[in-house]
Amino acid sequence: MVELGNKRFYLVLGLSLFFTWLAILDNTPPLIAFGTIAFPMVIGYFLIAWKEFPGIILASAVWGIMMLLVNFLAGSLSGQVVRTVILKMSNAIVGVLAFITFEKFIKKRLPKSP
Amino acid sequence: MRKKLSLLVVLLLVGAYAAYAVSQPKLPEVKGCVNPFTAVKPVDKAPENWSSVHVFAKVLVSKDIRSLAKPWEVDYKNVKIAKHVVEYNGEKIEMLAMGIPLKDGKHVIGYYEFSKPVQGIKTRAYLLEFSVLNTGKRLTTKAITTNGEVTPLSSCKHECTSDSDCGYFADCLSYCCDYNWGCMLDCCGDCAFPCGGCARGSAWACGECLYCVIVSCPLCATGCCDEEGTYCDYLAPGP
Repeated sequence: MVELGNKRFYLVLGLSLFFTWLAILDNTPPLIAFGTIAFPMVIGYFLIAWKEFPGIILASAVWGIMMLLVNFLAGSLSGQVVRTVILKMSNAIVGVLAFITFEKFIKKRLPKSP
Repeated sequence: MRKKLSLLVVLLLVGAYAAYAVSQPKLPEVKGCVNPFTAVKPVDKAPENWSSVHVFAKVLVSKDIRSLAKPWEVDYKNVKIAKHVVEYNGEKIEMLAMGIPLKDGKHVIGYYEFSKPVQGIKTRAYLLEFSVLNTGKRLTTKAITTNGEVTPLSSCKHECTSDSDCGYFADCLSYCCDYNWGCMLDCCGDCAFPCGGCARGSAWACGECLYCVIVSCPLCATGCCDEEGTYCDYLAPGP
C-alpha cells in the first residue's frame, strides 16, 4: 500500500496539476486536461509504486483509456484521438515484449555472479 | 477599331472603379482592441436571401473580405446572410452579418457591416479556421480586419498554397507555427513512466522508454499543431 504522506506522491501530484494548468492555459478544456493529464499521472504513480511490472505497462494503458473515455464523454472523439490511443497501447505492447525479452531470456543467459 | 473599342471599355471600367473608390468616405483608423459588439444591443434579426451574383459583387467591393480571401476561393452557394437591427447610443442602426465559407472546407469568414460606425468601426471581418486536434475540434481566429485594414494575429508565414506559387526553383513547404502544449503532454507525458523505470535501472523499461521517445511520441505529436504555416523553400529542386 502506498502511503499518502510520501514526498514523491506530492511531487507527482504537484507536477500533474502544473502540467494540467499549462494545458488549460493553452486552451485545452479543463475536463479534458484533468482527465487526460492529472488523473492518469496520479493513477500511474500508484500503479508503479504497487509493482514496477506490470505497473509501468498498466500506466501507459490507463493513459490511453483515459484519453478515449474523456474525449468520448466530452463529445470530441476524433480520428486523431483514436490514433493517439492506438500509439499509447502500442507503448504497452512494446513494454510487455521488452519485459519478456530482457527478464525471461537475457537475464537467464547471463552468468550468475558468485 | 476593335482595339480602340476594347481600350475604351477597359478605361471606362477603370474610371468607374476609381470613381467608386474615391466616393467611399475614408474611415478613421481604429487603434487598440475595440470590440463593437459590446457597445450594441440586439433588437431584431431577419435572414436575407442573396443570389450568388449579389454575394460575388459584395466580395469584390468589400476590402475586408478581399483581404482575407480571394474571390475565387469563396463557396458562394453556402453563404449565410442576416440583417440585424441593433441599438447604439439610443439609436437603431442596421448591421449586416455574413457567414462566408471558403471552398477548402477549413476556413470561414465572418463579415459584419454597420450602417453607421460603432466606436469608429464600420466594417469588421474575422477569418476563422476549423482544426481537428487530439484534444478535439477547434475554431481559431486567424486574422481580423477593421474598416478594410488587416490585423494579423500571429507571425505565422503563409507564403504559398501550392508549389506553383513559389515559381520553378522552389517548393512550397509547410511547418508548424504553434504547437498545442496540452496535446503534446497527452502524446509524450506517459513516456515518463518507462523512462523513470529505466532511470531506476530496469533494462526492460529502457526498451519501452526508447520506443516511446523515438517512435510513439513524435508520431502522435504530428497531430498537435494549432497553426500551420507555409514557406517557399528555394534550396529544394523545383517541380
